[in-house]
Amino acid sequence: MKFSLTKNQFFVFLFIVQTGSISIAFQSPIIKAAQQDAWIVFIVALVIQFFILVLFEKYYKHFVMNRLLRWIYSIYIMLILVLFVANIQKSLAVWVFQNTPPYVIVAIIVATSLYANMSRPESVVNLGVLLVPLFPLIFFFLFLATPDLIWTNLFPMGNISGKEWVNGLKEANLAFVGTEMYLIYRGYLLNTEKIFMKTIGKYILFIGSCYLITILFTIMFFSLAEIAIVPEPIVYILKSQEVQFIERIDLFFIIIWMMWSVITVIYLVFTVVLIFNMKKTKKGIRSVIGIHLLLFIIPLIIIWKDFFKVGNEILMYGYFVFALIIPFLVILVNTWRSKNDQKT
Amino acid sequence: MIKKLSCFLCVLLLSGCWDERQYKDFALASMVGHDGQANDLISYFSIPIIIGEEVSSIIVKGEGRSTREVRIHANSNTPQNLDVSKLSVLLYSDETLKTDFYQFLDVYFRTAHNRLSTLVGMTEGSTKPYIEIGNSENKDAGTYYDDFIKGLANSSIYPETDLQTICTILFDDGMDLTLPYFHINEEENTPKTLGVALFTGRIYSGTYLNVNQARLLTILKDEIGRYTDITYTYEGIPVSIEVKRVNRKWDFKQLDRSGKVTMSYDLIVDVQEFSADRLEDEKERKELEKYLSKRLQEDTIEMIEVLQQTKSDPIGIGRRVRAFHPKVWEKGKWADIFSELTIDVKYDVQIKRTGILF
Repeated sequence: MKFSLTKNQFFVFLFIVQTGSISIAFQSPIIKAAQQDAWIVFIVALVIQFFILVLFEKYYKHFVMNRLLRWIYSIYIMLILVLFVANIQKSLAVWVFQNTPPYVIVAIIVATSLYANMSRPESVVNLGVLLVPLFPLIFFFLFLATPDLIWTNLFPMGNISGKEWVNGLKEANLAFVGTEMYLIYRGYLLNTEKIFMKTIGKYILFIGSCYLITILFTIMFFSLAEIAIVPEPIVYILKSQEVQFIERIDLFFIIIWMMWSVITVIYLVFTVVLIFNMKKTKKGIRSVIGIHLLLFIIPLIIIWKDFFKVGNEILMYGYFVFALIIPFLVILVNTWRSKNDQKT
Repeated sequence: MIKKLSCFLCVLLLSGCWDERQYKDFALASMVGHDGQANDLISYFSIPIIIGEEVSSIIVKGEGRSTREVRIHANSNTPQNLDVSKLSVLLYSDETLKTDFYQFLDVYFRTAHNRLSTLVGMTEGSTKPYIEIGNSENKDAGTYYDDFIKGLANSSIYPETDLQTICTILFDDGMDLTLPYFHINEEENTPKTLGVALFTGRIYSGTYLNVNQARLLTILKDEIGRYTDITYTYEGIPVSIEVKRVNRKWDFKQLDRSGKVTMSYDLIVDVQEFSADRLEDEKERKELEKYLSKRLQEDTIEMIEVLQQTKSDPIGIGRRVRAFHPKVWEKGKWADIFSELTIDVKYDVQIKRTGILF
């Protein structure tokens, strides 16, 4: 599949995949794990993420996937996909569509993805631009809650145990699911485009600020005991705000988030399609349809059997394996091989 | 043809069909009153109805073990399904709130389409007569009490506190809840504000602050509304002031050593009434400011004594202690620690305006 990305397209893509459907739900687990210091733990996780991306940038040329790796990564991305779709349906069922059968919501998401992934790659890649004007709106509405924030909730600082730090860092990784996309897509960047450490720094600063604001708002809006019973605090904060022109801001936010999540699903399916270069043949097109069929059936099984907890564990540990261990092993082996080749 | 067929299929899949909520299918309650105790709860739902051009309200009674069950029971008494998603006000009888308050609120937080901006009040005795009066006064008790409670916020008796804020306070160990407390004036058959009910944890303590004390509490919390009028008698002449601005400074330096908290308040006030008309004299003005500061201090200390005896901290001192003095916080239950604190209050009243007269 031939296409190329500009630097901006590349980072918008990465931002959407990383924030995706996770953005409304990751605050509660990290705060439960690291209490009022969750925001400090998150900053540390952010710094780690920065160095991971810097290393990825330095060695991305050595991340060459063979057939086995393609299969492994495709299965992992499919796993993320089915969990995302199931979680999207779950959140929509709680906040908006209480009575709509799950298969209808899943079918609409999957049909949209199928349509998009049958289109030209350039169209798919540019979908994220749709979200850019909506993005400031989310924060505008969130900032309406500022008068209700209790700043003392952030204190005492640095009071958590080592175990809480470890658990907090583990939970913080949920916010960075999709980091491996950097390696997969970096090769598609236009040759004229260069990425410096400063560019990665700006990206980390942006994504980190967005996440950090939501964590700080959650800590300051709720008491710690209350956070334990609210799984999606950001939507809840918006729900509690009353403005003259709209009765339920949370619905407005949920619609934006739904678009966000659907585009994330489209991007992830696109990645699987890209890894196997499926669109070249009729067989490839049949495979794209097959992926979407799986994407329709498996999330319904997760919803039906209530496998969410297991799924989220997989996402958390999957990050360590697929965004850290495997890429660095592959990079290490390929670097060693290329050095050996040069010698011989 | 394929496009037309796709459009048709899309219409069939419109998810709105399943989640459509039309007003004609629901009896929307604007207000609910809860009496009794858990496992033996009685609720009164005030439902506005429109007949022709006339608006009136009916009261539907429900009985059950929990807030949800009383609604299920009340449903059997209405042709439509009872809906509380547009609730303006929730009233609870004082006896009801002598048990865990949160158990009655869970149902309102759990459902996504319920409002979290609903206001809450507490009544002396059953809530039913209050709803009846509200309906007769305003044709809709929900609007009547919504205005009533917002009026209390305007006059700085009770800061506007909605369901969400109440939930946050109930879950917060560092602060206790207060609710506006109503009773019925037998002569006029109208609801009156007794003051604010004090909670210890999630339970109504049985003690309340009167209206003047409630106003002082609002000043201490720095949550004054549009009008904060206080009247004292100075040298036999009534003097009314309106607090325009509050600057507060809390000092916890001596907390760890001697358990003392000093709260200093600078109040910028306007004189509303003072028939002696002699405030052009700087010395006279200073004397009056000193007198007002002293009286406010005395009354506030008296109010704080009530809070400490009740072991209720609606000021939120606990939040600061938890944040910056963990050693004190970890000594035991905050309610007990709070009741033994030495709280010193200082006021510095500054008269800024005296109207168009001296």
